[in-house]
Amino acid sequence: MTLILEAVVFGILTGGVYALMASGLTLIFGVMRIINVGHGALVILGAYLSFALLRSANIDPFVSLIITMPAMFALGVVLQIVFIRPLKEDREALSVLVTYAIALGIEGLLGFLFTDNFVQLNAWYETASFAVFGFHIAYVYVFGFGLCLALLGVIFLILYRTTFGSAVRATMLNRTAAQLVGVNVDRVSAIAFGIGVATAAAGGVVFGMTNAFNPGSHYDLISRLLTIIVLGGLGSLRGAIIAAVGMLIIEDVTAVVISPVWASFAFFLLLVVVLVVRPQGLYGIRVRERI
Amino acid sequence: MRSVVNVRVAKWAALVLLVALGVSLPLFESDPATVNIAVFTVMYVGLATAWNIMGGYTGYVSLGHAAFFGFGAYAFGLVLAHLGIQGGYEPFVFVPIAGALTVVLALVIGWIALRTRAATFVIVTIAMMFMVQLLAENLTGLTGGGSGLSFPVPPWSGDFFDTPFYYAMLFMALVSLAISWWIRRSKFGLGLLAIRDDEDKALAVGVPAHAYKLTAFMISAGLVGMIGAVYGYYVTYIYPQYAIDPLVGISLVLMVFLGGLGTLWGPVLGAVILEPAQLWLAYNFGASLLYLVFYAAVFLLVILLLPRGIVPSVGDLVKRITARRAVGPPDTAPTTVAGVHSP
Repeated sequence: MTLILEAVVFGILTGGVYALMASGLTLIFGVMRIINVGHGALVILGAYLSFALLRSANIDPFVSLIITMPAMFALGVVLQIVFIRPLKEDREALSVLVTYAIALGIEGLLGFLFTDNFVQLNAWYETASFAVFGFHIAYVYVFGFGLCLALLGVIFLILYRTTFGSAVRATMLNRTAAQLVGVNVDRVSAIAFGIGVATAAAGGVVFGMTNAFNPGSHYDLISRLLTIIVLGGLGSLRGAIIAAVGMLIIEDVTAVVISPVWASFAFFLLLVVVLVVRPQGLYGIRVRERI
Repeated sequence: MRSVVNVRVAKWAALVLLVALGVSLPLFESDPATVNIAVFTVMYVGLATAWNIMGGYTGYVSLGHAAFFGFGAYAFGLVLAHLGIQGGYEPFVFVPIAGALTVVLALVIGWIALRTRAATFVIVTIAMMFMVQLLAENLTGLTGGGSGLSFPVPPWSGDFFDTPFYYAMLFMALVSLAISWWIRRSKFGLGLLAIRDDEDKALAVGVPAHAYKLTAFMISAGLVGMIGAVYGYYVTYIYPQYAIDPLVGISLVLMVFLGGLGTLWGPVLGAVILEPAQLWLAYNFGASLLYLVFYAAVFLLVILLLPRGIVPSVGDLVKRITARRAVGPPDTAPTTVAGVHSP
């Protein structure tokens, strides 16, 4: 029983990181109607950037976000303008190919620079822990969870308390109508992509401190993130957050109750079950448009 | 009328020439390295053509076809092991069994995945592929898990080894093409194209959309499964992460887009151009992960320069030239309907 309770707590704590990463992904989908298959690779890129700063300048991974998040934001804006904006027809299919190419490019580049050996971000709080109800929680999980919660709060503030946020939400609801009332949807798209990529950098730091990673780790990540956003309903932030935490709890509990090798499988199985009952996901609206 | 007949004769002549060229290739090229490239190229011709039956005709983009490819290979290997078949020509007889098993898997996956549309469908197929990969890894008693599954080793040696596999792959590619051609001309194919253009309207005029989509999905998957079976026998040892490789699933999609989505010959053209290029990159830069950067560059160039594919773009060009010749230079370029392209 204690083991299961521990698994639930860890599920919530790690779920926070996935909630942040999935939020970026679902925001990008909501604004541009594209699937960013490169999101996992961008998370790994963020982790490697912090890794490089840690190794070369001994900068704490969390502190390094002050440098990497703006850099990744700029990268996101550039990627959107150069590769996503030119896509006109067949956006969903072509965007998958383009963002997959971005993922391959990042994987190849990281493999060339850092080899494909597994690395991990280290800091004193990664191993130090404190006891709650008889089990130990490493500080890094709590810090990571706090960071993700704070960043999610910032995203919600931007979306619901600023003029730019209104423009983003208008674009998500109806791109053409938003354009008609004077929203510069191209600018909104570029900035939204930048925000999504910047959150990937933050997610990358937390992921990199709690997991060993290599350039190929993005496959595992993106398959989970995509599953989460479909489960939550494409384009729904609330859905992504709830789905992320729910999925991670189920995964961790499965690892304890059945076996760690089936943990990821339970994750995907939940998606199948939900799709049979509710094809649009938890908070999604039924897709009635053409591909 | 006369010119129509001539065009048809020319088309058949070109087809016969192409097939003759394909069939005779190993006769004048015996270098195993070249035949090896030919095996993989013809394999992708078949895969891309089979994928196009679903992705091109109905517009449902599946990124999970690698699951059917790997499943076909595993199913084939297990059938051969179970029946105790020795290496040689005999195993090829059992390839359709692998295809049939893959069709059953496609029925299950399709039934669930086809409840969704557009972007959700794309993502669900990706998730399904990772599920199949996890199963191949975790069901160690059946698949051997991470240590792989072995096939009977064929008795052929040296220069001849690749040749039977080349013909098997060529046969599968021709079967895929024949089925694709037949579907395009049939009422069934017309229904699929209607689903691609507007599914709700197609439903409204009485196209049994769900049954049609599922059928197309199963045909497409079955062909891919059979090609996967031949692949498994060719490489003699399969592992979950190589047999069910996301890169395979996405490469064949790129080939279809390069050649022309929903056209008969587009996938063939795309595979013949891209696969040798990818193999060349892998042979020359495969030591480091840098070859992935080159892959990425090829991907991006193809999509940004030719988003509609070669066959439709060339088709438009030809139409524009012939139209100009017929009525003199028009004031404005004639607009062509992008929906249906002649194969």
